[in-house]
Amino acid sequence: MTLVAIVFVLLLVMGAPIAFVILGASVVYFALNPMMTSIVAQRMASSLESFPLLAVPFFIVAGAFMARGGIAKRIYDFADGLVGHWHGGLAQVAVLNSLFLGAMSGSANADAAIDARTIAPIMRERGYSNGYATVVAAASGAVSPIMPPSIGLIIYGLLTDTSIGRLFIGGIVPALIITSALLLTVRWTSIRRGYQPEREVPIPLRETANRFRIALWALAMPVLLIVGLRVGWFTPTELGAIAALYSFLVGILIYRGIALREVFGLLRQSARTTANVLFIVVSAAVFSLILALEQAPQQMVGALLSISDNKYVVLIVINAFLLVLGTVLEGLALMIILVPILLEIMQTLDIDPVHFGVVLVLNTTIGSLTPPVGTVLYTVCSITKCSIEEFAIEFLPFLLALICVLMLLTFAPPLVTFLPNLLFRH
Amino acid sequence: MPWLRRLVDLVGSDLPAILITIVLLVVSADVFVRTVLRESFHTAHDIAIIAFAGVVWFGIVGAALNRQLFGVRFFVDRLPARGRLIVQAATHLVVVLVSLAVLRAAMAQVSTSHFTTFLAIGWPKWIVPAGLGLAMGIVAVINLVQLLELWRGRNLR
Repeated sequence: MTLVAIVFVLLLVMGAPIAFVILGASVVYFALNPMMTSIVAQRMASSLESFPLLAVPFFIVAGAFMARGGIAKRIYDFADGLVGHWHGGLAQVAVLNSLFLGAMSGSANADAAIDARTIAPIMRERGYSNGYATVVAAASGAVSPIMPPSIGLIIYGLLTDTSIGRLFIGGIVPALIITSALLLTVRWTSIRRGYQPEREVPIPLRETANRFRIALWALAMPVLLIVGLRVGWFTPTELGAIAALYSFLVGILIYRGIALREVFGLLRQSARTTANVLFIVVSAAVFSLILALEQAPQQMVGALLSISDNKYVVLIVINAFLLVLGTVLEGLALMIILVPILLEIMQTLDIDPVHFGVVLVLNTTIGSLTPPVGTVLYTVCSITKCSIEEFAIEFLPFLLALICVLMLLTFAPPLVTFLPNLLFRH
Repeated sequence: MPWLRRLVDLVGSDLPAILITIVLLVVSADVFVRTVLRESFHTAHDIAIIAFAGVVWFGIVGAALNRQLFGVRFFVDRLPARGRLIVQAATHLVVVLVSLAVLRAAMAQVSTSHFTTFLAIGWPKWIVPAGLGLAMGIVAVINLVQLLELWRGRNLR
């Protein structure tokens, strides 16, 4: 196992693709511990035979249609109408924009990339530092994996057999809390740096109402999600397909942002993004088998329960452990590898799976923002050409805000569980 | 060999785009048939799962061809030019070796899963690992070509 860990770290440091880092370590393990030759392929293929996992490509396609079809622009205009007059107006718009976009794309990477391409350049033109603009684009992406629909929550639901509908609804209040924390952080940092509002006075209510009306087709989608799930028209997976079709139709017929000749290109890019995300997922499924074979879950459960049998103490230890691991491991892979282990602890200490899922996904999302290994961090920095060092310094107040929210959600489970318990009461 | 690149691009980009469209349409049709027509589209599940596997296996070929496989470049970028080149070459070799190991596992899986089928449509289940094996073979070739281009000092795509 030591050799496997060394290979893992070595390949990671060499810059090998994450999926091949995980597969490389797994191949070495099975070379040292010979089993069926087919076991790696068997595990990879079987992990894809999961209908709920189809939600991932659906929401990726939906995100592509929204970004191209004009939905993102209408949402930006509406967010600008609401918070553009606050300190650090553009940065505030970026955060609020992420809340609305997160309600459609479900991916921190997708959302942060949209902000980095659209809002960050305008922020730089208006005098914001590149580091600050980059950090705002990245940090605001932290809302997306929590706000339904969330790819992270879907995968957690699959791994733990938790209702994805309950997880989605459980993410709503935490997403609003994260947004508020980020808005406050932007306000505090903007006042210190002298970043001005977009305008001195709020735009007239009539104009805001007009922007809301124009963005209504876009804003209606999350409502469709909640109603559709609750009424039972479709499952969360099928909802993804409906969301993709909806954003396609709105983009092509109503906002007219997509030309028919562009559709195939968007599908090509979406398929590639899907493959990139899910190849990591299937590779991590192989590695999680190794951990099971090595009885890592039992060892870790024993170690954690030897610290305390108080669930909040254990949750703090798990949070700290995941935050540290999140700095060196990709979020989804981390989740797939560790959730089966953590599931046992959760069951032993009677922790609500919906509560734990939201806390876990937020934790791994924070990990995706922290150097040296962070998918969102690298996505935005590669777009804005921001150095990792500059990002790390500018990110500190936002990191603090996100950790405070993480702690709040950890110690106040009803913030997560109240809404799903209310809506899914039978 | 532009025709070979075009062929790989076809497998790695066009085919996954077609398959993702199939998945999308089949699942949407299933929702429509079930909720509006009150009928059952019982093969939807199997078709969607098979096409989905194709999206992932062949999509990874497109990602490799377009250098979009996500890796951490933080440490490599801090190396001097020569060191960086050596590490990049080693990384390509590692991907080739891992791909070949997965290809071997996929072939073994194909040979042992002759008797299982997707229940609703009756297709053999070995097509999923076969797709994985084919994709891994192509990824290995792509990385060999990229290694060759690196050795020749060409700018890669």
